[in-house]
Amino acid sequence: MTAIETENLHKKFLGVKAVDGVDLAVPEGAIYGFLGPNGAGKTTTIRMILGLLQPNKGKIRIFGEDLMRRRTKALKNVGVAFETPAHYEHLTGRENLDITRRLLGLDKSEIDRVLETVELTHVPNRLVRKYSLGMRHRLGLARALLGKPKLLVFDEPTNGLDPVGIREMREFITSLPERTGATVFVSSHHLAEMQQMASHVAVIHLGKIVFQGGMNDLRGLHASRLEIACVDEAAARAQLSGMGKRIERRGGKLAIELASNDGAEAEAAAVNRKLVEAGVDVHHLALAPWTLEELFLQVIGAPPRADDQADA
Amino acid sequence: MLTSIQVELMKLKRSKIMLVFLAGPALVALLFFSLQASGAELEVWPFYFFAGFTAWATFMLPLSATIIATLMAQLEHGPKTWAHLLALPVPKWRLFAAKAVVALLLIAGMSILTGLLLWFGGWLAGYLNPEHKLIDPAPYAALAESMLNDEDTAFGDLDAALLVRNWKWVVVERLAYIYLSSFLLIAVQLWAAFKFRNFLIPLALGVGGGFFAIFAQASKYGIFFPWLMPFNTLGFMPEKVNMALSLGLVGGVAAMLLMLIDMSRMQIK
Repeated sequence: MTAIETENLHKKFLGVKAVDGVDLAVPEGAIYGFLGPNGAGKTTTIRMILGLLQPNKGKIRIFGEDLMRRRTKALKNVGVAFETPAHYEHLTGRENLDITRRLLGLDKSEIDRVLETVELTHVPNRLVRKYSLGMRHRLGLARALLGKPKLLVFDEPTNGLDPVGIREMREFITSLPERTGATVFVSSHHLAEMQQMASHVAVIHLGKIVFQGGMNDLRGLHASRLEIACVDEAAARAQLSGMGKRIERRGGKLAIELASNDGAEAEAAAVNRKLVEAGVDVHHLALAPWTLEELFLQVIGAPPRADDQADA
Repeated sequence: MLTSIQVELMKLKRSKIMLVFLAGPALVALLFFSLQASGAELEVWPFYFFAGFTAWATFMLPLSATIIATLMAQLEHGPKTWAHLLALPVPKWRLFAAKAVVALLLIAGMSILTGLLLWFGGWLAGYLNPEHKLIDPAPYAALAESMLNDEDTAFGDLDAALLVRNWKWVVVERLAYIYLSSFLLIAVQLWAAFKFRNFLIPLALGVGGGFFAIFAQASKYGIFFPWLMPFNTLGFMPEKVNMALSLGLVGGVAAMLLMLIDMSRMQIK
C-alpha cells in the first residue's frame, strides 16, 4: 500500500499555478525526499496533503483513505513537523506536548516516551521561549511522534539549524523507519542531506513533478563521470576527443561521461590505458558519480555552473 | 468537545488573557467605589449597580470581548500554531468551537466578577465612611410598586422599576441580559480575530464598534448595532429589552455557527 498517493493535484493562488498536476506515490516504509527549489510548490503540496489547503483539483489518499471525504480518519496516523517549529511560547515543553496528547486522546506516558526519543528529558518543564532553536525543532519532532504515527511528514526540518543540529536531525530522521516502522515524507532543498537520507525521491519544479522514483533510479539517469588530471592536458584532450568523448572541466580537472554505470570501472581502466599508451602522464584518475545537486539541476533543466561548462 | 475546551483553558495559563479577565471588572468596580467613596449621590444599591452595569455594558464589556477574542486568536496566529492544530485528526470546527466556548465562559466569569466587585466596592465605601453607605430601597419599595401598578405612570420610569422589593433579582437578571445580548458582538469579534492574522483588524473593529455605538444610540436602527445591544438591555421598555436580548443571543448563536463553517474552511498557506 502507498502511504501517500496524490492524483492530478492542482492549486492556484490568484490565478497563478502553484501546483500543477502533481502525482505522488509514496511507498510505505520509505524515506521519501521531496525536492525542489524555493517556490517550486513543495510546501503547498504538503499543506494539501495535510488538509490545510483545499486543492482546486485532484485527489489525495493517505493509506488508502480519501483525505477530502474523511479528513480525520486519513490523518489519524500522520505526525507533522513544520519548517518553523511553532509552539506556545508561554507554556513549557511538556505542556505543549500535553495539548497535542489530549487532542489525540493518548495516554500521559506518551509524553515521556517522545521526550526520551528526542532527548529532551532534561528540559521538559522549561518555558519554550527559553528553548534554543535546536530544542524547538526537537520538541516539534516529539510532537510529531506522539501516538506512534505510521506516516511522518517533515517540511524542511533542518532549516535554520547549525551543522551539528543538521547532522543530528539527519541521523534522527534516517533512523525513524527502523525505530518506528514509519514512512517518512521529508521536503528539503538541501540536496546533500537528502542524498544521505532518502530511499526515494520526487523532484518538483514550477509546480510539476519532473522526476519520481528510487534514489538509484535518479542516479541511473546519467552514467558516472571520470575525472582525469595529467601533466599535458592538451594531449589528453586530443586523445579523449579521439575517443568521441565530450570533455568538461570540473573542479580544475578534465571530466568525461562514461558509457554506463555498470561497466564504469572497466571503461575507466581502458581510458587510462589509452592515455598512458599515447604518452600522456596521468596523475589523477577517479570515478566521480553525479551528485544529487547535479542530477537535480539536470532534471529541472537549470544551466550548469561556469566551472562545469563543456568545452569540447 | 470537552477535551478541546480543556486544551483551550490550558493555553490560558501564563497568558495576558487572565490579566484582562481580572482588570476589566476591577476597573469598573474601582471607578464606582471611587465615586461612592467621594460622595456620589447614588444612595441606594440598585442605582449603584445599574450605574456600574452601564459602564460595563457600554464600555468595558465590548472592550474586554475585543481584547479576549484577539488574544485568544493571537495565541495561534502569533507562533503560527494553526497549521499544527488544523493538521490534527480532530474536526476543525471543534477547535474553533472550543475557543468560542472558552471566550463565552471568560466573559460570563467577568460579568459575575463585575457584579461581585461592584458589590464589594459599594460595601467598602460605606465601611470606610458610614455617610456614604448604600442603603436597601425597602422604604421606597411600596411607593415604587404602586407607581408601577398605576396605569398613569409610564412603565419606563427607571427609578421606580429599580426600587421594587425584588431589586436584587432585577440586578441579577439585567446582568445576565447584558451578557446574553453580547453574544453577537463576541461572535463578530471572534470571527474577525480568527480570520485576520493582523491583530489590529479585530482591535480596530472592536474599538470602532464601541465608538460608533455612542452615535448609534440616537438612531432608530441602533437596536441592530451589536455593540449597543448589551446597553439596550438596561432599559425598561420591554420591546427594546427583548429586541436587544433576542437579537444579541439568537444572532450571536447564528453568527457563531456561520463562523464555525467559515473557519473550518480556513486555508493555511
